[in-house]
Amino acid sequence: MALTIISIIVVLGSLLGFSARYRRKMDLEQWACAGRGFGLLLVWLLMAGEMFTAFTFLGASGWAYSRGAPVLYVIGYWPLGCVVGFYILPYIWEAGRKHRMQTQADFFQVRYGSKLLAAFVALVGVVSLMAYLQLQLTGLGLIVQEASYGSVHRTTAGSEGWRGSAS
Amino acid sequence: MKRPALASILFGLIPFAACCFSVVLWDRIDPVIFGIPFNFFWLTLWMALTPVCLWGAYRVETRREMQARERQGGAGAVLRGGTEGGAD
Repeated sequence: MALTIISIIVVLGSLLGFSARYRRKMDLEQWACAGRGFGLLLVWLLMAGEMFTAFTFLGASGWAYSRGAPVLYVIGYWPLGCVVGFYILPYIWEAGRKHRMQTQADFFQVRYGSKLLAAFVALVGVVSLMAYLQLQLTGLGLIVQEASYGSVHRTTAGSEGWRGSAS
Repeated sequence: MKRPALASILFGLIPFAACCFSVVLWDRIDPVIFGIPFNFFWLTLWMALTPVCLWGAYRVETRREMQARERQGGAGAVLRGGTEGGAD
């Protein structure tokens, strides 16, 4: 049952993605920041998706179960992170719109006028995200394995997720 | 771009003061509220109160923006009045 629900969501999401290709011309700006045209409700929902990751459902609760009190910091850092975002994100958004920036590296290139620094920032970003990506895929694999009562092994689900995000 | 107003930054500092810089004051088990220890309850409470503080900061910022726009409109009117006066 749970696996059916997951499959339906994956198929619906893929269909939506393919149908979006035919309606509108896709360039890098559309792909990276959706033409900077998202409305309030959509951004709000995406923020929820950004916050409630595999860590929220598996990592934090598992940590609370095994280690106890230290996990309390999770409750504190989310709202405080949003406070910081309230002051700096509007400026970053405005700068990104003005100079048509799409990535973190673009920002450093425009701000400091150095292509070398931008390449370095991009490299550090990719290397740092590797561990996080690995964690997310492991979490996804575990969710699918549990939801299918063990009929899909977590390594299979993880590698399918990797292929899905890469294509 | 303008920097945020001091009042709005003060609103933003309230959650930090409540969650980061005052741990010794609320890091205790008693009193147990709704069956959860007090420190857990306190942090959960600030999950709800942080948006209230940010709403205050947002009000300060939007009011400042409106005032700046009004001032700009006023200056434009004076300028237009001046040129009309010159034409006369």
